[in-house]
Amino acid sequence: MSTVVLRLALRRLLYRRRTILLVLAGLLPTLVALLYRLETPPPESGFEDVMGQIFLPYVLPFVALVIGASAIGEERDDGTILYLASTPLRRLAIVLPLLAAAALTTLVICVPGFVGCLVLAPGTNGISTAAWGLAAVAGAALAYTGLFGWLSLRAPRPVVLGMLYIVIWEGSITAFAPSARWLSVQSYARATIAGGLPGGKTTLNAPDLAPILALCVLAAGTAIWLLLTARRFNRVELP
Amino acid sequence: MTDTVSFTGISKWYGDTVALSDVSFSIGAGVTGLLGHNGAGKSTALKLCGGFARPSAGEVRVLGLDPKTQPELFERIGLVVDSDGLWPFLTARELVSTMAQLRNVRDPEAAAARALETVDLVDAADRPVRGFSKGMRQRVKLAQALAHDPEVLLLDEPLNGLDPVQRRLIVELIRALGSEGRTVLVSSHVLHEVERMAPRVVVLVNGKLVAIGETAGLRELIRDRPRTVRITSPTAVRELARALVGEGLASGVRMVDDGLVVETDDVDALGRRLPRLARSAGATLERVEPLGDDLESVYSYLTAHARGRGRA
Repeated sequence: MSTVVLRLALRRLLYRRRTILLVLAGLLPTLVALLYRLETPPPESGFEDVMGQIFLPYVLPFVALVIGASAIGEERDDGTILYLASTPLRRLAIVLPLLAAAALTTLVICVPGFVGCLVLAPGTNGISTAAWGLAAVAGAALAYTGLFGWLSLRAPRPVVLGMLYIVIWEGSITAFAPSARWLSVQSYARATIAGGLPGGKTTLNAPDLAPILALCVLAAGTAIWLLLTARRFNRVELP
Repeated sequence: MTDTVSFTGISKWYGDTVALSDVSFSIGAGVTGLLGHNGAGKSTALKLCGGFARPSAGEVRVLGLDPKTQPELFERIGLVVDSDGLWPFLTARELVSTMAQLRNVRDPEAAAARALETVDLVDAADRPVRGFSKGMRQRVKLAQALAHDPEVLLLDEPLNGLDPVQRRLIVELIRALGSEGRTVLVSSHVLHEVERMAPRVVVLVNGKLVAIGETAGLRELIRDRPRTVRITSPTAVRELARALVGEGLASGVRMVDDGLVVETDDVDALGRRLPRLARSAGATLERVEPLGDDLESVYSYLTAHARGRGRA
């Protein structure tokens, strides 16, 4: 992987005014966790509630959408992609660091919110919750940025389509059509995080899947979207 | 001359729009101008050379390689694209050295310093490009194309946005690059600009190749075409018209409000002999100006010429 392209993409994604807004959005679950903590007595399911109803369905996918869609999309819109394309790098070697930078940026923005939740919200299970939780956040960040990166080369309005996927497919359809959960990044993230919470599968409404298997599905999804993005990048006409 | 850039039967269309139609040519070392008005297909031709697009038909080869599928080629070619986009947070030095690094230059910092000096951008080298003028951005684009010392340079309108001093500098630079034995393909829609840089020219009109050859030959071809000249004179207009026809300098004369519009096959002779004829006819010449000398009409003539007599 080209570290030069990775550094370039990280600078592009992080040194933006919108990053401040995204960081604030990323800290929202911490604020809610703090409110839970201040309640007397604190509810037992505080961590699961914040993760299952705020962090996983909204904060993480929306941050990943904005970052993932702009990782390649903005390079293309600004014309800087031409400079990357006029190097000896293969298209996969360009796409890989761009999407890796998007996933890293998503993590930089979202992990503080997750850690805040872990520390403040009641109902965690120590190191196990932290480990599976971080794995779920990392896996979902990779999968989402891969998906939205690919979408940015496929569709003229990737952010709108991404929002429809998050709100309608993941947020609504999967709630009453359990089979739809097999095509939902969020469901696999729920299954992974449930690995660190006794009874978490029920409270998080996670599919019946071993956490390690859910993590493997997220990794496989990431790999597939990465290859599809590279393939698309190879075919698409550059501006 | 060994061919370094070759187009064989290249066509490129976008839906119903034909950008290039069955274009074949090849060029070797030295500077070649790619001349055409806006929308003639110049940028599409350069995009195909850069592998940014796939031809709908035909084959493009640069240094014998396919730019679309053989990216190792980009260690040997430098590109200046038409787009103005540059990473705004990078300084000129960072941008040029980053591109040199991506093109596997051993010492990218030194290469960047050399390239920035070549384009006279040393003073602004450590400023972010976000504050750069159009002319400075053009020079950064040129510097990144030069930093890896390429054998082939593909330059899309490199003089756009430059002031006259910078223009002269870049024209000299392009000529020097050509005389060093590099292949330089430089696009422009301004004929006299191309003339200053390139001894050879490829002319595209509406996606078709209409002329290829020496720039001087193209100039001759243009000079030979029938021309229209407007002569403004407040007095003795009829006498002047009669004299011009009588001397065989005008193939057609039309009276207008303030003078004449003259069709001529030999504009040089008209220019030489008009003052004397005007004096003897008692006419006062206020203004003499060629009409239809814009590139569009030159290209139209070349298109007709290419249809009628084959390529120049």
